Amino acid sequence: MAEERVRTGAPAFSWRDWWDKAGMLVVFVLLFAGLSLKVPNFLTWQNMIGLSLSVSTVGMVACTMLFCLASGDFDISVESTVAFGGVLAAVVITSTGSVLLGVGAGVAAGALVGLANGTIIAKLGINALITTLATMQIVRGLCFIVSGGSAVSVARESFYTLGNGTMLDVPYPIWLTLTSFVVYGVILNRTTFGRNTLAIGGNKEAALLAGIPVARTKIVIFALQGAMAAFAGVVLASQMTSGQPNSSQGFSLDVISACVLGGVSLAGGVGTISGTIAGVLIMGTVQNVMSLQNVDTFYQYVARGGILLAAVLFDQLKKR
Amino acid sequence: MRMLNRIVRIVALTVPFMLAAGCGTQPADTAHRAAKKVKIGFLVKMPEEPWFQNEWKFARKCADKYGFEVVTIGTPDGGKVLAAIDNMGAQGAQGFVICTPDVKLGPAIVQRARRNNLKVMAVDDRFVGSDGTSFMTEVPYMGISARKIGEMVGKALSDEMRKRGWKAGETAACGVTFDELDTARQRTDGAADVLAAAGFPKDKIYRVHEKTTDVEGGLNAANIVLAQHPDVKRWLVFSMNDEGVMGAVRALENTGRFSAENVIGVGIGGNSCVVEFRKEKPTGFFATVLISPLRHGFETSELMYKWIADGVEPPKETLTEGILVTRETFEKVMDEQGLTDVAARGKSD
Repeated sequence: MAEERVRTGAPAFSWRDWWDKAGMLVVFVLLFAGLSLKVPNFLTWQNMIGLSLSVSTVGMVACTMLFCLASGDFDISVESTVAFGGVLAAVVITSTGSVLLGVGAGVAAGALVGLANGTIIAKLGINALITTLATMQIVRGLCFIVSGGSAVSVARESFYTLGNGTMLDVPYPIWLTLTSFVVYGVILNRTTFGRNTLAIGGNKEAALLAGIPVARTKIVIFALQGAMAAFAGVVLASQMTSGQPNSSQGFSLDVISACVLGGVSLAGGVGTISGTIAGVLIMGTVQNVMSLQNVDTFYQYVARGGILLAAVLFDQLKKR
Repeated sequence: MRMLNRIVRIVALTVPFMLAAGCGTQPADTAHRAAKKVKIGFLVKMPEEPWFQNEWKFARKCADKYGFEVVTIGTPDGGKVLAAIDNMGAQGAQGFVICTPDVKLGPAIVQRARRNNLKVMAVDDRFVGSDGTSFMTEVPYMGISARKIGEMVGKALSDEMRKRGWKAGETAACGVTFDELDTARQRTDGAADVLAAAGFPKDKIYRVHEKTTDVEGGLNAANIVLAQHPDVKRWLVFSMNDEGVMGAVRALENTGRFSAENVIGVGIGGNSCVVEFRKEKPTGFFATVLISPLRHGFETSELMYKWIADGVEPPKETLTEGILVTRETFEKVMDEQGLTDVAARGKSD
């Protein structure tokens, strides 16, 4: 479908480009406005904080999942890495007494998991879905082994600050998520690494021929994702004051759903940080409102899946 | 035309979200009244399990009686618990009752509740402090007298075994355990200890850990024991709830060699096993120690309501009793206990 062009030499404003860049954000703004009017207790400071906290973990990992999906890959092991980061940090803090060491160990372990994923996928050429399915199981098993089979309580109060402290009345996890959005947004839009990611996802062969270090880029993406997931897990563990080996089951699909809702294509090559932010916020807002309205737990599952399906279908229609 | 197209598409996409999100029970104009009304949350770790669904049912009955609103939320992991607490704070609730998905979340739950000005009461699983071992006795708690009820199971097993004249030589006991939860460990320890004290050989009590406390968990665990001891001819089965025993009984039936004649299973609960008792032919599931979701659902909500409305703090610890029931006696006893509609499950008239 050709765009209408004004023949003055300057490029015409393209609605399609505008929609790709900001469409989902507009949907979010309209949704937010509508719900503020219709749903009691929605537009309050307390609820906004609660809403932001509830999407903080997904938000942080969605930043790197954006890169992963945009480069044409998949990663369902993040849920286990989130749990593992928290559990390892809890175990290390309890045995050494050092919060810094615990957090560092958790994040480093996550990076290692990501490194393993990336190497197997990029160097050995094994399918990303299968690889991360396997590492998801392995890392989950490690969670239980390292924790001794049950949750690990952390008595050290300085650990609680990460998840429960506030700055300007806003809890740290929210600040961390906002920072992630900014940082990864800059990386995607302003660095060669970001451009390479999209190029690889768009056409891997062409990217190779153009001299882009495909394997290395993919390994870096997975390693970053592992580290980010583990860090999000440490922050979550700090909020729960314990490392929970069975936490975040199904989290991977929540993150991928948010990205897809935000316009990231599962085929690769397409993705924006603003879309991802919108996807995360829309999912979170719908969940928040369903809880405020006391929609039955089981109907909530149906609704969440339905929204994702609608978004994907809509995206497909738009392409025609 | 194209612009109109785009706008129509944006609106069309937004509408389903709003419908999905906005549909519920509260219209906007009751916002003021909702803030004054008493609202109590009831959070459970496994909303799909009958025990918790019954707790919710009785919580709603209590809400109807006293005129408050109960908010039922399923919280299968720590992250969801914290989000639910924040959400209850945002909707103006004053307190909640919770069966936590993990007892070590205790300190985090108390902290988050305090931040949202919510009163907390624990039901079924007691909070453990940040040292990882001692109970948080400052939080009001209602649970079953786990040890005593476990002992009732052990006694029921050894009594029935004696009645049937089974010899210890051909019999073994399968205990499906979940020791990381203290109330569960006390039940299975109680059963095993009473069996041993009654003369049952200790080395023939085989304990196996289940990954989840539902029927599937019990089935998978029992299969392991069956594979390890294929020449046992008669089995006694116990666990920390009905589902564990039901799963084990299913596993035994699946081998084709076991049925009601050579299996005695005694569960704890009295909710899920009604389905067993209603089967045409008796199964290896022989009896259960009935515990009351009415007390755990209704009474806890009532205690929380009185705390909020009248300032009367609930007792720090309330332990509820169990009653042994079998296929023959369950309907009558459950009727007497006010659990008639629970007993009516699976009734075909």
